[in-house]
Amino acid sequence: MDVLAGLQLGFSVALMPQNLLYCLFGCVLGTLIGILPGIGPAATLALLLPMTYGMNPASAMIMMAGIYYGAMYGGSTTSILLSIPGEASSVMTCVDGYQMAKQGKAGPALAIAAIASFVAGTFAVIMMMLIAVPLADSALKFGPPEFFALMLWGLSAVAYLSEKSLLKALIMAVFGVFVSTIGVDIVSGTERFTYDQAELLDGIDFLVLIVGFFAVSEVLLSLEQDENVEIFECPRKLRELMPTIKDLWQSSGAIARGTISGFLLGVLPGVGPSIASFLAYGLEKRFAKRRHLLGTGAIEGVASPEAANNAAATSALIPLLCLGIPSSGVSAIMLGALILNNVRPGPMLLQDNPGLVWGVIASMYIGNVILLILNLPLVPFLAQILRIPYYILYPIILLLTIVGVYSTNNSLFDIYLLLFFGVLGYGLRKMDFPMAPAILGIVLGPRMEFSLRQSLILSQGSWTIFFTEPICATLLACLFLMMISGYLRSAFRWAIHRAR
Amino acid sequence: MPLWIGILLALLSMALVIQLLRLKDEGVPQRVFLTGWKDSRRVWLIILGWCSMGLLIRWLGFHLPSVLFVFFAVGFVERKPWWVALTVAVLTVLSFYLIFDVLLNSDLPRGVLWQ
Repeated sequence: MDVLAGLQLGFSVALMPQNLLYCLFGCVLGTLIGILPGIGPAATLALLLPMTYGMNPASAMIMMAGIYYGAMYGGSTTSILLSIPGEASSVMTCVDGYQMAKQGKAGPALAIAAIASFVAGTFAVIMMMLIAVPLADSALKFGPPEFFALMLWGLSAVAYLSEKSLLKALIMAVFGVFVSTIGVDIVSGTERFTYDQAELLDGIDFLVLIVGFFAVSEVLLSLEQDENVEIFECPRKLRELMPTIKDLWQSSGAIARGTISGFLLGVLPGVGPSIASFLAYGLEKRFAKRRHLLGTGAIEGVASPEAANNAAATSALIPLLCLGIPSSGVSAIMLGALILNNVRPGPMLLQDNPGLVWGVIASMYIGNVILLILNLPLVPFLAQILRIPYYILYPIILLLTIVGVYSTNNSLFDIYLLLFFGVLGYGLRKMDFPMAPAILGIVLGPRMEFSLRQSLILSQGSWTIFFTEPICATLLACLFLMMISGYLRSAFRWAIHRAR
Repeated sequence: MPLWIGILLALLSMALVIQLLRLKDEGVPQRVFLTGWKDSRRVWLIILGWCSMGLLIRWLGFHLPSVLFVFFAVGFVERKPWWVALTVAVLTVLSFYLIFDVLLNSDLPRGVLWQ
């Protein structure tokens, strides 16, 4: 199926009334979540994951994608008005955005954030559309050894590129894979780590881990903070919101740089919108014409990170939709939604479910337009949600976690597991253990193990299959290079130091 | 595979312990898990309340423990007036009942005592 035919199919799916509603719902909820500090898109998707059970898979993905990139739009609102980032990806927007608000330019700051997000999001969707078909075609050459190597590479890359300690990220990745082995082995029928508990025969549902590690731990961590900050009044009239031609001209270069850097970084496993926005701001400090003004209320300081985080959020979905491999915790949750609804994700996703993949891509075009409209005139009203006290919101969120986990399997045991993983997740996050590798581990673990065993069956027990298949060998070589790159860099620096 | 996973986990954990001991010897400040009661009071009380609620669900069902938990969170942990806590608790659980039990026909736990 070529790009135009795919897009036509995609729009026919995305423009169905129910999918338009889900897209609108996702964008509005994502914007609200982005505005609210204390809960992020990952936690929201984790909370909504059980509700997607039984939904049309395309509708579920459209809604979840809407929440994810919607949160990128909304996160800038609190950054600019409160100097509190709504999301991790909006941290850099605080630097210049809050300064602009203090100078009475909150309106143009909010508008440029929305415009930069729209331009970057649309560009990333166009690129996704152009890359999808050739990438999925190349994935048809993948067999079990290649699947195994790709998933291993993806899981390791998320750990290696984690902002936290490498060892801690690897431990979490391995822990996630370990949890996925609990239950009955599908090949031999052996019980693994069930301790004679009937409830563990089916293993631990990844949903419980996702909700506990993301949603519950995020709420508990946010309870440690208790800040009183000044909130700037958000301009209500459209006239006060609009940037001048000069603002648009000054931010155009920043938007372009942020878009391209964000898109390229977002595709890499483990990088994500937050790292992309940091790096984009760093690029501005190097290359912007008015770089000496960054930090004092320069509009480039708002435009660049906002463009980068939106482009990265969109491009992060490329490995998921085209290869069926998640590259971040959020896309792993979306993969979970597909598994819950009996869709087999993988490189064949585009071939087997073209309506779903193209429908999501087409819905992103629609979603970006909805978000631009929402965020320009409606953000002063959406920002009122900040007035809801957090002491009302967080008990509701904790109740929702229990309802969500129970409603999937009607199992009280799942609730007990949620309590355990929720508290464990809080403790681990407090000690700087990242959660995303664990989620990827539990989601990818069964498929990795299955691919590994299939490969060994094909090669009659010989491990050389992983080194004789060219694509597999290349992926494993990339993985090896990534693992030793840190040591190579240190050795290189030591050699230069000795030579001097 | 579980054997290899277990061995790998053990090796990585030992490596982390060695790394942290080395950092401690070098005087690098480390993350502290147990901060003072003043800083972490809210968190530990909410963990206690939420876990107690989760354990009581088996006997009392979902709704009553939820009311108790929200009342505890708003009234005791957040130190709001008792009538604010009671209003928030009742309205919250009533909303959950209307949305999940009535509208979505979800089968929330009833509890052993009510069956």
